[in-house]
Amino acid sequence: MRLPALLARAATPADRLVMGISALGIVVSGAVTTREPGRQAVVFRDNRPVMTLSLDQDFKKEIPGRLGPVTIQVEQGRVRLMEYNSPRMIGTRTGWIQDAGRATACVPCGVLVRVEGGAPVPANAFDGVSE
Amino acid sequence: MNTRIPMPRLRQDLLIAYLAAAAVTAQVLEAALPGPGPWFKPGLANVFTLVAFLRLGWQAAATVTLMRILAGSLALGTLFTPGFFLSLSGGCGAIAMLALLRWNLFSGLGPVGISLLAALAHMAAQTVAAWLLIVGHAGILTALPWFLAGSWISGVLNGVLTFLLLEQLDRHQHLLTGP
Repeated sequence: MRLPALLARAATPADRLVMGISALGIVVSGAVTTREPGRQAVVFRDNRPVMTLSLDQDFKKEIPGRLGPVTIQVEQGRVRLMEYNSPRMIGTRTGWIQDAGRATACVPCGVLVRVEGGAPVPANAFDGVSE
Repeated sequence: MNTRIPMPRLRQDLLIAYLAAAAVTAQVLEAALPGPGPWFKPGLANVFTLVAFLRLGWQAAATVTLMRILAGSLALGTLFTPGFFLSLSGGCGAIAMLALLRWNLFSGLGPVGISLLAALAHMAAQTVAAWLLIVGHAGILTALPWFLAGSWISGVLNGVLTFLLLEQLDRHQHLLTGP
């Protein structure tokens, strides 16, 4: 039996109402959190900002994470992180992000990259990794 | 659909153990398979939690969830790792939602609606735990809509699977109540 037919049989009217309201809420919250193109990426390690990167300049660096090294890469106005030893590899599989307000993270590694808008910054304006 | 079945205590405890074992098996198998995307995890183990909730009640669902998280983490070797605490916080979020739903706050909900609300609560609790306990930066919350979108899909699919499993169980009620 096909999924729509199964769903029609399994879902009560109240279920359909919950499905509709929750889908609408997710779409609206997704639209609200997607803003203008980003200008810089801030890299956090255990809630400490360790790097601020301009998205105008290509960049690649490995930083230590809780589960091993995490590579941060900036290319063509986008940023991504790549972890190598994480249970679900969500950060790597998220891929490139570029809009202000978007974030990508390897939660078990304690590393988060957040794209921000505002004025452009010189590359490596702040580097806490090498401190 | 939300029909509690009277049964002897021992049989009820056995059924909880069976459901927990099935949930652990589903969790371990799912961990071994490649996932369809970063924001999406099927969470098939939750089908057995929902069966426990709809047939045995909230406490049975909480027991199945906690046993699944503990035994699943032991089997996967992730006990007391960050992933374990994320799993535990997500499970607690889903249990809290089921605790609300046991009072029929939203009357007329079937397995699909209950599964969906529990999946969304699971993901919301997990993301907040990731923010407060591990990443420590509220920026993780900007990814919440994407996480919730994945949970919406898995919640609906697991609700349909729960509906089908309950149909089968109802056709073989002697498995629940004994000969």
